[in-house]
Amino acid sequence: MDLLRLLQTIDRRFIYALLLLAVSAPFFLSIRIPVPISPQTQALYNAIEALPPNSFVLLGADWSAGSRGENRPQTEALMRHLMKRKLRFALLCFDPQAATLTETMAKRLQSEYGVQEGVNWVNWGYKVDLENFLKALVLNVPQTVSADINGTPVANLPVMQGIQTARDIRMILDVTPSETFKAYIQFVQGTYKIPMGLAPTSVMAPEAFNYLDSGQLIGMINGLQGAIEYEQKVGYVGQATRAGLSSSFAHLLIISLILLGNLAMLLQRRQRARLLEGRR
Amino acid sequence: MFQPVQGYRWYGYIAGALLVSLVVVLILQQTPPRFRKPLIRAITLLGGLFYALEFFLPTHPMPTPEDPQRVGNFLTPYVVPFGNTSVIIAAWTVGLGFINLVQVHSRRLLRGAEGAFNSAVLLISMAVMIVVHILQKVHPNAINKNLHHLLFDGALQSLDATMFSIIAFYIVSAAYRAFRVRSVEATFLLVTAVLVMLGQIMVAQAVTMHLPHNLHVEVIRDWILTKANAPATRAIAFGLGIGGLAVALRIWLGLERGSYFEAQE
Amino acid sequence: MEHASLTVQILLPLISVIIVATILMARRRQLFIRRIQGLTAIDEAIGRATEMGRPMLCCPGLGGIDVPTLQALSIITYIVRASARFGTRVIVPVSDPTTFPIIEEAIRDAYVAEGRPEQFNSNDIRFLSNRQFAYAASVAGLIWREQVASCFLFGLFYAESLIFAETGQQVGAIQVAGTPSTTQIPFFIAACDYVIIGDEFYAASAYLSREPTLLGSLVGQDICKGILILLVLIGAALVSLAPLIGPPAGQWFFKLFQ
Repeated sequence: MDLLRLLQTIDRRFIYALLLLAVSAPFFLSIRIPVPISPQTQALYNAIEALPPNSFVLLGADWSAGSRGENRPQTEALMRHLMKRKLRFALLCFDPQAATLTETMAKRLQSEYGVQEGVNWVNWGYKVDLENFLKALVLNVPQTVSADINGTPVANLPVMQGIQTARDIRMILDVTPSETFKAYIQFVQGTYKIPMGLAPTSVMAPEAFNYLDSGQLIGMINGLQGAIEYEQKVGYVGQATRAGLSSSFAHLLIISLILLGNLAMLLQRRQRARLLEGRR
Repeated sequence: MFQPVQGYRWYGYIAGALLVSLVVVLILQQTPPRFRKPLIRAITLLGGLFYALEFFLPTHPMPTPEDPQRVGNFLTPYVVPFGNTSVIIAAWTVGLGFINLVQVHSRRLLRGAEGAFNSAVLLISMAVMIVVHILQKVHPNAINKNLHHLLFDGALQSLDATMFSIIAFYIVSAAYRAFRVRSVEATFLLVTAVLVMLGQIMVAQAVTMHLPHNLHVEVIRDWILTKANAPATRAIAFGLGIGGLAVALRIWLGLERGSYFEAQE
Repeated sequence: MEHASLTVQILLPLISVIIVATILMARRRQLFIRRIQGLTAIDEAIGRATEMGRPMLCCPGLGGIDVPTLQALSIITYIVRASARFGTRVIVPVSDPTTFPIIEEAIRDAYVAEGRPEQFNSNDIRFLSNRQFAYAASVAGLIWREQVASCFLFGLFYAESLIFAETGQQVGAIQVAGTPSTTQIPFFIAACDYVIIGDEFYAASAYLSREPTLLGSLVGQDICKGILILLVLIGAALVSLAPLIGPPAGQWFFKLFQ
């Protein structure tokens, strides 16, 4: 087969193998490249830094194992920041997997920052019907949540002291691979104008920029890249930083393949044009 | 409004709700077909009217012990209880979906048709998952917890992650195939895509760090995302919003025609 | 609970009145609608599946009972009716249990309306899973096993969109997609033959059925979009001219939309 044609029609299995290599090869490298902090990441970091001590933050985690690659480091970075600043927070999940994944994460991190479940943080667990739950939450938090993931009534927990309605929540954060953040904006953020930050997957971020412009979101951690930036801000080398090189290699591979395909196509076009001219 | 109840009252309420539902279903089934559509339209209109009125009617302070500054109108306290009905309906329909799934696959299994093995795997997995989850809830001992952990965290989560990661492979092959400079527009698309991707690469960021600020790849990426892409998605969102509103209005007011609604005379 | 602000109290009823008025007007007057390439391709895709003697897949996405899914169902029933005329098999995988009975009923009605009730096969309207990736795996498996000739992807889609579109591409199916999920449109564009973008999705039922009510609604939507464009232009002009006319005018305008 003609090489130029071959370069335009590379077998997809070969492309898949290249991608596998591009993603896994950096696991064996230990290069750390500092990244510039984007304005939206900086804005979210600053907003959390500006919260008064002991403020109550609602941390929505609506991801599952599928989007773990991006959403887990985002959640961890935010959780570490909240724990570091000794801010109280509640985990709220509209995905059953997120409830256990975030619970494990918080329990792993709490000893590092000297915080305690029930005192500094609580996992409200998995809840169904996003919209109606949020509508009810705005009116009455303890009654709507009722019990935490362990079945303890939340009204009795020290972490929930002084939290009656959504008005008592100082900030909302949502880590999500979907559009759940729109429900938070519509039913919670909009009602009491509570500052809200978002950590979407890269693919969902373009839509979220509109809400940043409108001021409904105060900041955003944009996908894995944003997580790398946030890890840098909080000051630790986490999963995102370690995966950053794999992501870079994968992007480089895509760019190379696109350029290769196009180059081959243009050269073939030129070859054909010359051939036609020769015949004339 | 509709406070949770416990003990015998809870059982009584459940029995009462089931009885009322049964009566409603029986009445609906006995209703002649020509009355069914107007009935559905009337219920749709009333349901929509409730939410529309709650949203539009003037609000006033509605202090409660929990929230002394709360505002709303006379319909606001009913929003949550009304919304809860959708959860109950959804829960019932999960049962319908389950029945369909079991019907389709057990039929195939009994006939020994092609793919019967897959159906058997599906039915067994479903049964095991349900049993283990119930066991873990009812008797949370070490065996049941470990079994649950193995199936839920070990199998389900890994399978989910595997399916998601397939997208990475597909996006590479799709991008390689789609991004070709076949026209001026396609060239613009390609250049923009490459610039955004370069902005995601740490090495490219490090390399352009020494160039003037506006030439940093991440600055170019952010400019494209916020100044070119965001307004375009906003414009699409405007159109979609109005389109959605029009469909909702047609359904609400019973004006919808064609497809699953009757054609116009 | 959030309630309507003054601007919403004016704009939303205004938009609603315009749409209803144009619907009523359209019942008396013939209205023009431009050609939408992606929707014209539906007939081509049905024809191809008929010629090849292979089934078609109509995927209504991950939505529950909501406006996009009902709109998708409207397009799917059109496809089912058209395919019933040629005896082409249609497979509809369902992800949301609440929509399942509605979809099943609508498709049964579509076959009855075409006078082919015997063609309705309940095994082809399947509830697969309400878990996103379990559903994605099942649909991809269906596309492979059934070697579908045409794929119609209409409704709400998320990350699974590319799994469907790329699998369809691998089996050589002709693919038409339309979704209000703006973030998934690029994936469909990369992997599908025809894509319906933005509010073309909501124009589909009007385009396909040519029902005066739906055409009128479409014209009403365009008028409303015109009003929104005008408001955007006014806002942009006020900001741009702020140094000349002073900021109060612009601030007053912006407060209306906060």
